[in-house]
Amino acid sequence: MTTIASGRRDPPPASLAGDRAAFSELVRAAHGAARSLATRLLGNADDADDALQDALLKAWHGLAGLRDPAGFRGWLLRIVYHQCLDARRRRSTRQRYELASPPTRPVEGPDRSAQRELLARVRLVMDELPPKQAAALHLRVHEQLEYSELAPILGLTPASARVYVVKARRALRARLGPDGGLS
Amino acid sequence: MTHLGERRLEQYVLDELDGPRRDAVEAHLATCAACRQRLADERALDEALVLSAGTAPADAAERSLAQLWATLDAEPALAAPALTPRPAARRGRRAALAGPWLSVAALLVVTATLVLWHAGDDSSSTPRAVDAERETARVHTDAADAASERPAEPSLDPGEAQPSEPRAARPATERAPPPAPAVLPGASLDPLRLESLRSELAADLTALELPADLLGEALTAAAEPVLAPLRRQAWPVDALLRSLALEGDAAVAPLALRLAQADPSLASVLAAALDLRPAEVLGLLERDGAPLARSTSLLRGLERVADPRLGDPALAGRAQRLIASRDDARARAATARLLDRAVDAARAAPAGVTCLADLTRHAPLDLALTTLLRAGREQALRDTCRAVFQDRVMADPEQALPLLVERLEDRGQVDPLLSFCVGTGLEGLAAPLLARLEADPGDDGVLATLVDLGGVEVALGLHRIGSDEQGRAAKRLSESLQLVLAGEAELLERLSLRLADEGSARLVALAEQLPAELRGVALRHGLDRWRDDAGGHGAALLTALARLGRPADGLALLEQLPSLAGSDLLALAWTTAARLERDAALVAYGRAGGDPQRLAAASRASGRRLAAGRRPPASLLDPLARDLARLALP
Repeated sequence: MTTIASGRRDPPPASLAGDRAAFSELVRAAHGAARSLATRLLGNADDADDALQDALLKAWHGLAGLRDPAGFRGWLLRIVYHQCLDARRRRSTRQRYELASPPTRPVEGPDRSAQRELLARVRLVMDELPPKQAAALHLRVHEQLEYSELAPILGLTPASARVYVVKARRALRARLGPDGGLS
Repeated sequence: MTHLGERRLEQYVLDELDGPRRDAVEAHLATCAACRQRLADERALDEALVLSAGTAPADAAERSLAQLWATLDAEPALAAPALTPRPAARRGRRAALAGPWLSVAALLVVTATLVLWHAGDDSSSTPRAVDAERETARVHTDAADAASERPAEPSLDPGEAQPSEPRAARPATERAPPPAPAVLPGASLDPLRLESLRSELAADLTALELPADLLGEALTAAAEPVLAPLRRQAWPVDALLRSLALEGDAAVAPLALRLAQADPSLASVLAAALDLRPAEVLGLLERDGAPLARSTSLLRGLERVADPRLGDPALAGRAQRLIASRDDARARAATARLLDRAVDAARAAPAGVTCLADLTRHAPLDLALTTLLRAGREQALRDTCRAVFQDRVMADPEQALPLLVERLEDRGQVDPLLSFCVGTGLEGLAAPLLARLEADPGDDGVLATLVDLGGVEVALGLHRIGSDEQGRAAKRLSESLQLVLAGEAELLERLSLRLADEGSARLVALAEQLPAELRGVALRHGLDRWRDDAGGHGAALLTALARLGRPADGLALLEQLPSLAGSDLLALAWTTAARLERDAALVAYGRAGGDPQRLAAASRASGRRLAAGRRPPASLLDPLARDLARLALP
């Protein structure tokens, strides 16, 4: 049952591999960011939870490859990102269209409905962006990651990560229109 | 004014600028409404991005983990992670014990045994040292006993041996002194021995799952000696402390928070704790200071707490004060965001006005003043903003006033500041403001509104500015004031009374600027006030009346000035001969008693003045002189 990988990698910290408590601790610290990234890339919470579950399973099995527990968050985000790419590939165009459709007529007052409409438009535009751009912008703005932190998650250099963030931002601004509904 | 480029604004929003460039951008933003609006749009875009990502349920992580463990337990083939062999020494030790609690017990017993053996073997040990070591052994053994009473968790490693007897440590316990009230390790130990014990304990803490309370005690006694080895061995200290801070009991959590507070690299622990224990963390930060400059996450956490829409308004206020009290770049940016949100909230609800006032009382001076100037233009916020603005400026005028003038390039900020200066008697600040007004004249209606709202005090201040300052803006200011006064008779009366108290010069200046029909109204109050000052303000006011082309008014007023001497009247007549009509001069002569000598003296005196450069046109002077001469020398 136990796979021995000696000779292939440096040994991981003794307290991590196979240790559910330590793994849980690390997951709790990174779960919010991971789920948020998955929701951003897949557009809805159900698909995000599924992808995150698959990613956690992969992380559990790949824990031996993690040398530094302090890098767990970035490592998990990278797994989640690739898991979401797989999920997007599997998802049909029709499903994506349905998921990205704006919400039905809101029942709240005008201010709240305007905000809901704006958020729906932002989601729609983000869903239309290339996933790497969307992920880069999300990690930078939502998670406040430095470029040096988000670059390895997406398989980029920090400089190219910055380019992705800026492109995504400009695309978002352009597609929201001149007023954007932001003011 | 050159606006910020798109790229530079993006760099600022994305926090990519270094100190000087960021400062330059912020300096520009403080003075440019257009760029601030663009920045607000960018921030709104960020906010929409964050909000559109949604929020996870509070128990999302636990549900994910429970689902993961259920999946693994249901399918044993999936359950085995790719483990690598552990170091032999650790395997050996863990193999001898069943679970972490038992490991702790054994470790501590072994430690105590070694200590006692070492003490007994060392002839140089003092009785006190032996007692201390026995005390240590007792404490550790007590802790081990307590730990052994907890249910042992099942081992995850199938290769591990079955649990040994939990009471295997009993012999060491029997050698310890009788039970006594528990004390923390180190309370009475020799420092060197304690250090050794701490090092041993710290090394083993990395491999064992200690109960939170025991770890808490260990950390209390020896925070750094314990934490340093943990860090060296790549133990996730932040995760450990986060766990204690978020999930530890009431006794342990504050301790973990304090430890995190003491180490700036662990600020993220405080950030995470802010969501669960905001009051506790805020109390800690308020007492010991917040390492905000080095922690984006802590700052963002504080910003979340500081948003009254998201939680307890009282806590929001405390968090706002914490952020606002810092003056480093990141905290300033956060404060600017808070201020923007506070202005929006103040517009939306009266409760927000209090929040805005509180925040601007604590924010860095320049940010606070800029915000107050901006928000104070709105009628609903004006009184509050004015009060806070005045307090902040008056508390430190040497810093505040130059700061304001330096930053005022935006025409929109000049009017409220001018209004403030005039309303609070700080007219000295008006000169640079007027210079700005000259460069960008703007709307006259603003000044009229100023006077309209501010009444006589504001009118008085504007009049002082108009009298003292030079330039087009000052002139325009005066004109605006006169326009208002022309339609506000009562205001003119009150202003004239106030000016009359100050003497003749300002009153005359006012009269000079008024329409002809109002000059008498203004000067009459002066003459009433100075009727007994024949040689000073009274005469000056009469002169002004004559010079301003209102001789009839002047003559009528002469009747009200019995103390005015005849020679003074004649001098006045000569001095103002260019504008006085001949009849007026004759009346003045008649009032003086028709004494030729006095007239001649007055003529000579006035003639010298005329010769000094105030000679009226000959066409007017000659007929008058002839008449006077005929009267004086019949």
